[in-house]
Parts: sequence; structure tokens; C-alpha cells
Amino acid sequence: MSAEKLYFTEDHEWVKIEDNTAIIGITRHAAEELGEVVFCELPEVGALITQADECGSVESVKTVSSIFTPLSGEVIAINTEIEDNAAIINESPQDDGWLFKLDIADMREVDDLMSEDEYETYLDATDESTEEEEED
Amino acid sequence: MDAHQVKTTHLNKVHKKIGAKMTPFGGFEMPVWYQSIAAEHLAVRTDVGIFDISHMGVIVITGQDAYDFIQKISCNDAQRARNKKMIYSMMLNQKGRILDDIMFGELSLNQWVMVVNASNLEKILTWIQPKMTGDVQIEQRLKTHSFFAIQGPNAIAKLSKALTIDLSAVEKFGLTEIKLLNQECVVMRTGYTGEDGVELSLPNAIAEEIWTTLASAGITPCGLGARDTLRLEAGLPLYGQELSEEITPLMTRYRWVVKWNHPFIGKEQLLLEEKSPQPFATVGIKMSGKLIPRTGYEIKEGGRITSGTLSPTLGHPIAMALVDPKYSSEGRQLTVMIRGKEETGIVVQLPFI
Repeated sequence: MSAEKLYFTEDHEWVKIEDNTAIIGITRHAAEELGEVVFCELPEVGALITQADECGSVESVKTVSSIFTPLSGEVIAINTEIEDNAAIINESPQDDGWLFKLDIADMREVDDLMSEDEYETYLDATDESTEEEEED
Repeated sequence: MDAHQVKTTHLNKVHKKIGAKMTPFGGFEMPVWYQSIAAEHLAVRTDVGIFDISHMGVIVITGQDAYDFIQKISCNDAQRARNKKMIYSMMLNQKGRILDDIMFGELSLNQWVMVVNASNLEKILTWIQPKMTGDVQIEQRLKTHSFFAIQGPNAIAKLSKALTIDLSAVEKFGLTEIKLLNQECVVMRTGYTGEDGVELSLPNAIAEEIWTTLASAGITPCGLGARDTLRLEAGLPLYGQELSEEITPLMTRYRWVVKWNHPFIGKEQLLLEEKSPQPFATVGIKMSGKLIPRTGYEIKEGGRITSGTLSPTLGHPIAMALVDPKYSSEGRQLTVMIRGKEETGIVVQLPFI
């Protein structure tokens, strides 16, 4: 088996690539921003999804965040554990709290993703930009 | 919002030091939670929590004509707020639309305290200034004072013990002055959580010491996240969501705040509309599924969600909405459009708990 590689998106998803399979989840930063995750909507196994499509959502008490698939492909598995216990996403966002697996349709799309290093830089640059539209 | 204009409360550094997650809210950088919304929510429902709400506008209105001035700008009757009593009211524009929802009371002869929403403070100050005639002065405490809410079934007991003060004489919705660390403070037996408790206006000079004393006495620091879930379960409106300049008090659950026995700005228009059918009614909705309705989501039958959350107490999503009055009766089924999906909700009585 080839070594797995980790990538990130501007929408705060991570993608772990092993051979032709991508495992996708939300980053630790995203989980911290959301607070307690209470529910997830995931794509259906067998669904064909296209890069940047909205294919699910992660809901916390405070807010909801859409999941945009970082890559195109066929959904080959979803993490059924989080249906019963969405808190896994907070406890282990970048491991046990994975969301779904894809059979990658086009490896060239991987070029659109950020490396861990680039993502760290991206986080630093956008640190002050969290916006809320609420009033008291 | 312009990042350069984000304001902070006096205790900003204290919040950060104890690990608060901060968020912009009403123009301020405020704690949204320290530990978690669920834990803080539970602390207020079962014990006691403390919120820094110094972003709120606390205004002291003084002068011989203060009463007449307040009568003019409030649709509720200031007579009911005489003698140290806080009342809920709304400030309306000439068209009877809601400029803000407020609390106020008479602290002493010719001295009144009014609490307005953070996001509306500047608008309200601009609105009221030209209406101050005769002997009326206003002092807004944003820069000089902090404002804390101490809320929960054990609020009075723990607060009294921690600060060695006697609050037993302050009844629900009562208002009084007390001295803490030799400084004048104002205590109101009010809140925004559906629980017993007080709101405390205190000089910045003693704010950190009082906060720390209360937190050390087992009063849980709580952020605005829990404040929102608590007020939603209690069916309390939030300006900018349930209330706005689009609607009148007649379209809210707070028709009773309009007292017709006194002249006030907006009264003539409300009198014209009072007998007609209202275009909207405010309702509570209990969702059947797991998806949470959020602000602005549409209701298929007509209307929109104004606030929604997962109720920590009930364990299912709840929401408030403005709907066509013909769909507002209890038990009525409604369809909430959640990101393209049709989700079923039932109109239920407010408060939710």
C-alpha cells in the first residue's frame, strides 16, 4: 500500500488519500469553530458527486456548516458511527470523526488542495475573519 | 462588519484568559462559550451561571421631565415602572414599527434606568436625543460600567453568600441600588434565560474582582451561545430575529406591552392597525426530525423562521417563526424548508419549557 497523504481545503475539510480512495472529514479548526456537533447530513453511498458540490452538512447547537466535497467521485462509505454519536467529530475530528470515503474520479483534482503546511498558513491569514450575523 | 470597529468589553482579557471562545456579536467581541453551550446551559437551568453582557446599553435617565420623556418613547406605561420596578417595553417609530425592545424602571425620584440592545444602542441614542425636552439628561454607561447577568435557580442564594449582601427585599422585576466594594451598583431582578436571577450594573473599577469572586464561588461563566439557547427555550424574542422594524408589537406575543392609556410615539398608527387582521403571528415550532431550522429559513405555508436551535433541555430542534396567522394555532403542522428538504414541524405553545 502506498503511503497516505493528507490535504486540506479552504472550507476546512481534510482529505486523506490512500491509493484511489479519499477519506474526508472536517478539520480540528472547523470542529472548534462549530462547537458541539449534534447532527450530520452525509451523502448516500453510491452517490456520484462532483468537486465543490455541497454534499452534506455538519450541525452544531450554534450553527450549521455545509460540506463541499473536495474531490469528485463515488461515495463508497459513510461513517455510520456519527449518526449515533456526532460528538466523535469534536473528540477526534481528524481521525475517528471522518465523514465519508470516495472512490476518486480524477486524481488531477488533488492539485487544487492545500498541503498541511499551506493550510496552517491559510488559518493564520484568516484568523480574524470569523463572522457572525447576529444581533442582540 | 469592519474588523477595525469591533468593540470589546472591560473584561475581554479575563474571558480570553479563562479560555473563552470569542465571537463578534452586536459590534462587540464577546464570549460565545467557555466550555460548551450544553454545559453552560445546564448550569443555568440547574444551578447558576454568570454572563458578561456589558455590550448591552444601560442608560440612566434623570430630570424632572424624565417620566414624561419615557412615556413618550415607550409603548408600555411608565407608571407601572414607578417605585423600583422593571418593566418590559418596546420603542416604536412613527409607523408603530419596533425600533428596539427594552427594559426600564424608576430607580429613585426622577432617576430611571433603561436597558437597550447592544446592536441598537447608537440608533436609539440618535432617535431619542431630539425628543428630550425640558429637564432630561441621559448618561450611557457603556464605557464606565460593566453589566453582568447572574442566572439560575441558585442565583440569589449563591450571589448573596459570595458577596455577603441581602437581596431578599428585591422582588421579581425589582430594581435597587447596592454598594459592592464601596461602589454604587444597580441590581435588577431580571434576566433573559427563563430562570430566576439578577442583572448587575457595576463600575468597571470593580468588575474584574466581582467576576472573579463569583466565578470562584461556583457560579459558572457562560457565553452568549448558552444565552441564546436559554432564551429560545424560554420563548423570549431577540431583536434582529423575532423583532425588527418590519413588524409591530401587534404581530408578536407581546401585544400586552402596548398600553393605550398614555400617548406614545407610534400609537396613532397602531390604533389604525389594531382592529385589522395582522399579516404575521409569532409562533413556537417543535420539529419532528433532527435538522435544525435556522434564522431566515422559509416556511412553505407562508412565513419564515426567526430563530432555531437544538433545545439542550428537550433534545429536539425548536424554533420561533413569523407565520401567516391562519397557520398559527397550536397543533398546526408546518413545513420548514431546510436546505432544500421539506421538514415537518408542529406549532406548540411558548415557552418551550
